[in-house]
Amino acid sequence: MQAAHAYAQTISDLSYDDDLSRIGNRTKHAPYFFVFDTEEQFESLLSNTNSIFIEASRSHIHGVALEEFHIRDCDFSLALNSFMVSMPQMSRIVTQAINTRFGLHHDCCLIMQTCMQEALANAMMHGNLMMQRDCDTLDGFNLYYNTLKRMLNDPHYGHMHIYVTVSYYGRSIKVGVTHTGRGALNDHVLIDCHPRLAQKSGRGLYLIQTLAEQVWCNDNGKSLYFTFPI
Amino acid sequence: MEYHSHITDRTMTISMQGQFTFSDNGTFRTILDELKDRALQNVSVDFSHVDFIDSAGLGMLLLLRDECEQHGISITLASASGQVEKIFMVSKFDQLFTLLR
Repeated sequence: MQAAHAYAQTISDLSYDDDLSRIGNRTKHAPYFFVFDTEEQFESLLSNTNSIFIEASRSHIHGVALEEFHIRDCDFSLALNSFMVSMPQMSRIVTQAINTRFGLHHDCCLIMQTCMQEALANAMMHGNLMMQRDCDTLDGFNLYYNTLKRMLNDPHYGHMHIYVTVSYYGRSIKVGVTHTGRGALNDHVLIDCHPRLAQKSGRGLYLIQTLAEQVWCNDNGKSLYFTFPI
Repeated sequence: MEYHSHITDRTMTISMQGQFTFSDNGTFRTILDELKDRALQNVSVDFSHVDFIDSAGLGMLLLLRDECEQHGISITLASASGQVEKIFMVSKFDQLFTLLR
């Protein structure tokens, strides 16, 4: 796949108000736009491009492959909007793309997918949408997921971005998941994330801490990083 | 995730297939609806064709457990393997459910 050229210097140059066609106009080069009809097409793009910006709505997914639109100090960067993160299989597809590049052991793939799933869901629900955990009763569960569905269908929330970066980190690979909302992690949350035995929600960070090699947060609590040995 | 269910001798067997994650909350609500108004003694959830579960999936199973307890129904999680079995163990589900291999 050919590299597309863009003058967006950093990922933060792009916000909800930017649309992909405007980026195209700025560059005077035609970036590669994609409308994905199948999951396989999306997987193929992820596996062949180093830096990708993806948007999804209820009707379709489109993306642009921008080789120069790249976060510094990482080998793979991906921007997803919250709606995209809510789609089934997203963590598997992203993990598969990482596996294609970094060659993970099969067992490590499933563990990384678990951590990716939890990190993306936390970034979307608690970081971008600021939703509070309350799924300990069936009523709470129903309210929670009805609220989630309504918020994701609101373009303001559905288009809030989540960035995934992957890079080598000594003899490990480091995955970073960064949200763009107002929710924030802190070290206290990471230390005190052990759930009660029958607790229905709030197990995501605990699973990441249990399964990953190292876990920490950064960027004022907007980024969660975890590592896996390779 | 897809599922199908059948009832034999007051035991409902729910066979799931695929990945069980937060995006399956709608499917889970359908499963709960199927439990209502049935004279059941046991519910068995078959995980032999489930290859991935996340923390939200665990939460849904715990809600299912509560619903079953309220109606005096026992619940069994059967045939989990791979990532699903590992996540059950990490989450100490063996202390909350009857797990059958």
